[in-house]
Amino acid sequence: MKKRKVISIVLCMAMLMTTLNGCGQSSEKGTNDNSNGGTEQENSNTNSNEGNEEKIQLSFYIWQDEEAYISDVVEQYNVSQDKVEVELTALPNDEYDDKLKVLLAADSDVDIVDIRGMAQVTTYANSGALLDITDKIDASDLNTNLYGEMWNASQNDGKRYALPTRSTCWALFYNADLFDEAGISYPEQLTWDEYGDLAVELMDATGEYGGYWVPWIFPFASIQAGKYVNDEDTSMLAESLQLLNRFYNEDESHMSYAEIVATNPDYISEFTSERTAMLPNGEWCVQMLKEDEENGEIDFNWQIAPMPISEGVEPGTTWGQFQFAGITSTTDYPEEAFDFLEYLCGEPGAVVYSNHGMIHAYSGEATKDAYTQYVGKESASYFFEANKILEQPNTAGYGEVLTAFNEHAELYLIGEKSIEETIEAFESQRKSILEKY
Amino acid sequence: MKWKKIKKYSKGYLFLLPNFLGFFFFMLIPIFMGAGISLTDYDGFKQLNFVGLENYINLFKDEYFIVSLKNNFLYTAVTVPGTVIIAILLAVALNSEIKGHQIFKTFFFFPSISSMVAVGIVWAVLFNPSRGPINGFLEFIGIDTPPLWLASTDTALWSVMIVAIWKQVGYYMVMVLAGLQSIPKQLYEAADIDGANKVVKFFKITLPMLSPITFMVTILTIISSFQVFDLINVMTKGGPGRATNVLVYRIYQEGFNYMRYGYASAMAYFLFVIILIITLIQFRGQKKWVNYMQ
Repeated sequence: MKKRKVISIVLCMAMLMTTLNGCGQSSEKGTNDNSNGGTEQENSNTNSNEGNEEKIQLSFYIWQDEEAYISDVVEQYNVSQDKVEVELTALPNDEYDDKLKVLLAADSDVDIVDIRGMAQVTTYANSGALLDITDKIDASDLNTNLYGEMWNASQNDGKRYALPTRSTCWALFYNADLFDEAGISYPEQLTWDEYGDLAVELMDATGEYGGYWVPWIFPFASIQAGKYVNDEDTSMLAESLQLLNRFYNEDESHMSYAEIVATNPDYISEFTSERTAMLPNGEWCVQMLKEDEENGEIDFNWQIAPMPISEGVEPGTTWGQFQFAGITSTTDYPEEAFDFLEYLCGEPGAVVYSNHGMIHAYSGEATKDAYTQYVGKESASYFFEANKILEQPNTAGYGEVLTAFNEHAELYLIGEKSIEETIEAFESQRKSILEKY
Repeated sequence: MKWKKIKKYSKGYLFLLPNFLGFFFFMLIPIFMGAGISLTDYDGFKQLNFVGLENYINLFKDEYFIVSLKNNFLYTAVTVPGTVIIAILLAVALNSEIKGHQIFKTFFFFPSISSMVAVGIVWAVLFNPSRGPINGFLEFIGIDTPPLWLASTDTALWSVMIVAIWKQVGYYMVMVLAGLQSIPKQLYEAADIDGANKVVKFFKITLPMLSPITFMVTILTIISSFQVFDLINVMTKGGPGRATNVLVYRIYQEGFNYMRYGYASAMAYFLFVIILIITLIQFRGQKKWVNYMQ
């Protein structure tokens, strides 16, 4: 009897250990996965020239979507160098952000990293994982004016920890054939209210949805007005949500938010299968649409119009963000790493990106011409003319406040809370979040 | 003498070694490190200050944590009995040599070997409030306002629980089946002679004889119910709002999204304590109902 008791307690402990392992995994798994995944990827993705062992090896981590063009840049760069060689490692898109955190925290052997958006640059800069390259940028030949408006906001307390590689930019994509069919003239610079009316008109005329709004950008009108979710004034946030509520639920000119949550549809397929006439979305859609065209999967005329705006906002205003590349503070070769960074984020990188249909951050006239030529549509020049507002500010805690906002917004958009309740609950939660920073 | 003994068992230990090393380096050490980290404000990088029990105290002031705790308790309270009862019923049904029981066994086991991502996506389609087959059927039989499933805070957690039970029940059914087959036939024969009917036999013989297995299955399902993460991550990401946010998902958010590893570790240890307490209570309670036939 006693013996059994002992055995059962041991068993119990063993099970608990396994449990703990389970929870431990959620915080530790990144490390393990990473060491495995990383090596595998490394083996298959490095552009290494074996036999050149005297060369300085720079390790550069990116996410998989960026491999097509970055690998071209790296290849060109490696050919032009005889002392330095950049080794590229591409990690899966979904896991990249988590793995990058682990990589940086573990002081791994990484020299250069690809970073999604300014919020993450800020996080890493504050935690001391990135090298301060302010002086190096000043001393370089880069013409930072070519980075445009968003460059000014891409700093932390006057210091710079990363250079922008490419720029995202939101615009209004539309199916011109569906407009023709409905006998409606093509959209130009609209206000959000006009956009809403147009969506209803299109829906009535074609029987398809007028537009599709992706479920991951809620405070859009507020961003266009330069007010982020951490701004004291929440009136524009409320306006953004009310607009969405109109599109999703009142007019039903867009697939409802509840249905999007339930089915998680692929936004680009909604557009390419002509189930919706308009798609406000980012410039990356250009590449997807081009690809579908080349594969013969779509044969309709799609075009790009300026993003609609609220009353009082300057026409041509939209939002976007930079993707960045930075140097780790643990690198042994800061000079060499910066030399590559300058190449990637300057003219040579820009040309390669444009040839792949990506909008490089270093956008001179040459880049613009190469890009519009690649797209083959006049309307693509909008991406270069638009007044881009940075989608995420560089404020600490912004990410957490945004998550809170999205959670509250969700309850409003599925009709469980009123707009007043939503904003009030969000404001009080925001207060307690910001106290932590 | 002692040396001889070591020599005798050395081969055995050698076989155990690879597994033990993995356990030691990737579990035991992280477990103790986690305990240490939970007393700090570690951010994954340079910041590492001892903060004592502050993280643990903050847990109870954290409204968000309490929501996920409540969700998790509801999840456990529903999925554990749901899984155990359905697993036993299925196993008893399949144990009765009905026609095609082998095929059914395979069918019921299928969900357990399916990829969680595929399962999540397929169920999301089934749960589609306006175009999904489930609501299509409900409307067909005359229910005018069928539930919104994943798109409502009232039903989202229930939808996930239905999928969780469906997914895991086959696995535990196999365990119960093994238990059923080890029940001596003589017991049933004796009951037949005494004129007991099927229901009486089920409650007086099958259930008591199954109790060790039921006990184990209950503990395993409780533990896994507190670990639920993948299903939530695939199906709802904790939403709508916070309706399906559970403990481990919350730990993941704090640790990986906001890089508060210290706080996240404190949550993990709190979870450990919950499971420890529940399991200890069960071991206590088992004397009353688990029958080891001794």
